[in-house]
Amino acid sequence: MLVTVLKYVEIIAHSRMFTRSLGAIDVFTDAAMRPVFIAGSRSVVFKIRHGGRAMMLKCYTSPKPNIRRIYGERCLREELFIPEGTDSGRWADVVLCDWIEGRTLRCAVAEAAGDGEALGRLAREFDRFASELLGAEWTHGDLKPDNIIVDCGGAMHAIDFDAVYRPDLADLRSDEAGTAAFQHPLRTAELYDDSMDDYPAALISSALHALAADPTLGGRYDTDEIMLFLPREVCEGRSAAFDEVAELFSARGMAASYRILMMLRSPSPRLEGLRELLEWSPDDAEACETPPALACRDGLWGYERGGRFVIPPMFDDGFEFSEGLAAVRTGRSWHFITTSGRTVMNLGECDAVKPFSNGTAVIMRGGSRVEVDKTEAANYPPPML
Amino acid sequence: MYTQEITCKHRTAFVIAVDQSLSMRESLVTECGHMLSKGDVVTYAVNRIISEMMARATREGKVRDYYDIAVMGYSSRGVESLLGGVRKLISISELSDRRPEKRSFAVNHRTAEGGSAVMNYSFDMWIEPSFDGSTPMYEALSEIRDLVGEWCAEERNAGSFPPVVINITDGEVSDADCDELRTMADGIKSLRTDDGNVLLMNIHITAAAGVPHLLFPTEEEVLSEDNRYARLLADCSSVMPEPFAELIRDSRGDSRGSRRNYLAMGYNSSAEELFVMLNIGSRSVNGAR
Repeated sequence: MLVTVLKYVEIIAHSRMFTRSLGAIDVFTDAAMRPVFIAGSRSVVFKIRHGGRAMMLKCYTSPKPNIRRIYGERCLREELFIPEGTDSGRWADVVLCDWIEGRTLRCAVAEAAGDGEALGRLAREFDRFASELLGAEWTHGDLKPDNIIVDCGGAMHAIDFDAVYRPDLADLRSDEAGTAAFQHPLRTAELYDDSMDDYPAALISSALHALAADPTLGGRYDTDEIMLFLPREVCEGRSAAFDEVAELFSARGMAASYRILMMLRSPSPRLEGLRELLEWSPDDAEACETPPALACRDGLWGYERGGRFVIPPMFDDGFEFSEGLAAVRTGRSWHFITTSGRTVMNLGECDAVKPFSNGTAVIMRGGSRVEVDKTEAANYPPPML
Repeated sequence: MYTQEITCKHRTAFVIAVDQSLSMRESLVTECGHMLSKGDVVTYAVNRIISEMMARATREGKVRDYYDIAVMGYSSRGVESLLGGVRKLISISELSDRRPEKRSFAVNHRTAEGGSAVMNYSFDMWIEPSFDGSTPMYEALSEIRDLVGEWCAEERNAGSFPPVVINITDGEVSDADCDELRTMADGIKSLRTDDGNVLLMNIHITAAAGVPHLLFPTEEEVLSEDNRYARLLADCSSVMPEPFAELIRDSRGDSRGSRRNYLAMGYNSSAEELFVMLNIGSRSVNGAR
């Protein structure tokens, strides 16, 4: 059924006569007493009071065949009567869910523009949110900053589940391909499985960490409709933002972010190992006297202890720990990391790097030999994050 | 093709051409029982669709630049922009800054419980009805071809969803013959962005009740009408691209998934069909997100 946004606005204003069970809908209004609504490409959402609390009432402006199975009890079947002419009309399903108070991630990023610390908090919270999401039994299907609400405590919540995938919905034929600005170029409506959130999660995480590390990126690249990167440009190797951010992450020794960024060039929408990188933080490392051992997986170097990676394989090159530090390479830049994986010295591009021995490490740069002392760490600053 | 999402960076354009010849003064009875002139019905439908597009483009209380809109009237007075101002194509956000006159009317509707209730509808008068003389449709399409051509040639629009041109009329062209009109329509349809050719939709409305009518017909349905004017409109209309097919099937009551080529036209359309066509024509599957 094709219904206009304006028609729903009019019906909600006269809802007592056009609802099956909701009665008179108490819709929130703005300062000009106009109903508060958000129109999307296929639906319009009203903020209403119901059962003593704020709820969202979602009405569809074009046919959406699977909403009864997607939303279950939250779908109120044939709830709204859409009058047509004087003596006829049709019933429409609606979806009633809790209203999540807050602002969209897009608004939160705009408000934090230029503030590296605030953007860093958003980046870390997004990684936590995304790693939980990737481990959940459901997949959102249209992950983007407009579909993520940041509440007053800073926690993030997904909204709009029209494109959701769950194992019990696997037999459905989806009609959603997600929003192209956040999806892998190969994402189509036919791709309907648990990999749908991988690419947007990697893209948003990369963009937030990049903005936190260099807030000026927001002034040079779009953060309004996209988040720095256009997937098609990234996959075709012609994204200036991608190249600049890769250089930034490499130079700062932000290995996990660098590796997640590199995943954006994946030929497949499924990104293996993404969740491990989103979850990992040097702050969570367990204290242990024995340094972890260098190990390799799929061509990347990490560090393991007891057969388990404690620092994920995310380095392009690496040495064993020596005197509490290990030399690792991320992209073109070398760094020293602690046994928890924290970058403590950024060495930049080097021809060769040797492990610490008797308090000094030798590096070769531009044909010259340089001895680095641990006490000189201030000369090789780690990332600000 | 026809898959580009509509965003501020990839806005699209809608051009509506409105026949304002004298015959548009003829009255018809709407679905709601109102006796209105065809011109009033078209004016209401166009005003309504502009407000609808504004609602679709609103995010966080601000109207975003998803659309450029032009409404061109044609009559004996010539071809003129009905939105006023110097530029004919106006961004939806610029339009939203205006404060047009509001009008309202009441409609008696059936309610959910089967009773009846009067609802007051208030709407913005972005354009006003007017009627005068003949139907210089050729001249109007000629201006629109130039307007849309310029829009498509702008570098920032190269990757956008292509413009949609909707021509609403109740009669035959008075300033060209059929072949000239076909050539002009072909000129518009040949314009393009990287996402596809310009879509030209022709909607013929009628005051007559109970006459055969066509809503997004197939080629075969037009041929079976055996009507010269319906044939001409079909020749002047685009084939609706696949992203619109599901909406068209739904509006026609065709079975889901049926594969047919629908023409972007309405013939002997009612007021309600006019609005359905405007509603579908102003959407894309990847519309304003």
